Amino acid sequence: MDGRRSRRGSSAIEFAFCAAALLGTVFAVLDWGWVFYRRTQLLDVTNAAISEASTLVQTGTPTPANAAIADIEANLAALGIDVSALTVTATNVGSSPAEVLNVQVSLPFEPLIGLWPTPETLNAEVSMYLERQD
Amino acid sequence: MQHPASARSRIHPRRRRQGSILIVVAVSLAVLLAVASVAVDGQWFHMAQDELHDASEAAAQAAAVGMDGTSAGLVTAKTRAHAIVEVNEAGGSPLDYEALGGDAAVQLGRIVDGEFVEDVSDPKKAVAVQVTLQDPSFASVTAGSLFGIGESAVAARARALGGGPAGAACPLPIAIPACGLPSVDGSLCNVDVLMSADGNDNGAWANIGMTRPNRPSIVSAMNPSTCGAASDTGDVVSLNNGAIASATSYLAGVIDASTDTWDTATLGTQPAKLPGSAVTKYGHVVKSQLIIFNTTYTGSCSGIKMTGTGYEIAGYATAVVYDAVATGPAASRKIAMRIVCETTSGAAGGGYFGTRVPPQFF
Repeated sequence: MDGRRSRRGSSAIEFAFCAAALLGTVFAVLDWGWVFYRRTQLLDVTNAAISEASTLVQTGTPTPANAAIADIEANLAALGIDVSALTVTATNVGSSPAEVLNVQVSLPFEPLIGLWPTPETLNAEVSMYLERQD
Repeated sequence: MQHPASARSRIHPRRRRQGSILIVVAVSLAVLLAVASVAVDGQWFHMAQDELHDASEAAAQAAAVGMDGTSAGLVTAKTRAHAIVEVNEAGGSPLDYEALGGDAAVQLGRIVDGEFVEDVSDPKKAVAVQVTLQDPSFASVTAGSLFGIGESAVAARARALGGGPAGAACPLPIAIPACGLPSVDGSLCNVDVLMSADGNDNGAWANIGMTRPNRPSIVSAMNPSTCGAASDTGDVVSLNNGAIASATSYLAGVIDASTDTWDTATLGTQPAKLPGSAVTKYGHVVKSQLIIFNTTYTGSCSGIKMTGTGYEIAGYATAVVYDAVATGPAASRKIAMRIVCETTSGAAGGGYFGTRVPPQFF
């Protein structure tokens, strides 16, 4: 009798241990997969915006920097991302004939599950020469 | 008395099961962690590849902007590519230009039959850039190196069409038919062309403004000229800002506003001033893109008609427009230009025009 009672419940304990390990790993993969996915979106949007903005005349309306900012905000919003907490900085670095447009984007990150540590913000930074070095 | 088999069955199953689940869990966990490692590193790998591609595209664009048709411009192109690569990042780390290939990764050349060909034998014809950045030993995040991910090469390639007169505000491309020129090949340089009411004047032009023009936009912006001797010089053209003005008058104004003066050393003997010239600053030059096109018309050159379907940009040259007769009857309006050099590539390119080839991954 004692032998049978000592075995009862051991399966539950074993399952709990396995489940914890399995779910923990799955949650980590999900959250970090989400990190990479969001950052890839951020990077793609930033690069597309700066590629377009770098072709604009510096004294035009909008300026390359303002065009990049507007483009990034619009495209991230179209992806369903809340841009209210988004930080976009677009600055002209250097001077003609080597003036560069630098765009930095920072977005607070919300994990899917949140069990494992993930970055609090996702950042993307791209620099490109202005085509019109007026 | 108990059956010997029952006695054995009561004892052996417990000993066989003891510890077995631990081994199973350990093996399963190892496999799971390995799979998770591959997944995480795979994602990291692709994200870094995206960043490297963005950097190579920025480098190609930077090099293209620096190419001005001179040997010094070729050096500037690589210097700019170097500078722009090192202000970008990939995989969470700043990029090291030399480690990614250095100057050998930035190839300058031409576009032949739609393909990039490395060729800097004639700087004036080097108008295309191909940048290929490779990281031969990519740092993985977890244990990806155990599965070969860390040893893979993160690579990206980008091409851009660029070149043309550096710093020139190429206000207008000018298109003339191929038959209007003595020859349309790589040796066509320093040719004076007088576009007048009679002769090689069945061309068209447009003012490409703020946006980056490419071949389709250049074609669409040009007003078709019509048959007849007095048709196209002085034709109204649709300017990018919506205003309509006489093309010749516009050119006269552009020449007057230009601050570039005639340089005998690079352009040769200055052509004589046109009779009735309307420009007040004779000898000021405007660098422009000259587009040489083929048409389906097989008649005489003066009767060539450009239609919407007749556009075919066969190549382009750099034209220096130095004089224009903007006043008087249409028959007397003239535009004088010198073709500095010509390329035979099929692309309409320039510092401010050009179709950027979509970046390619490999």
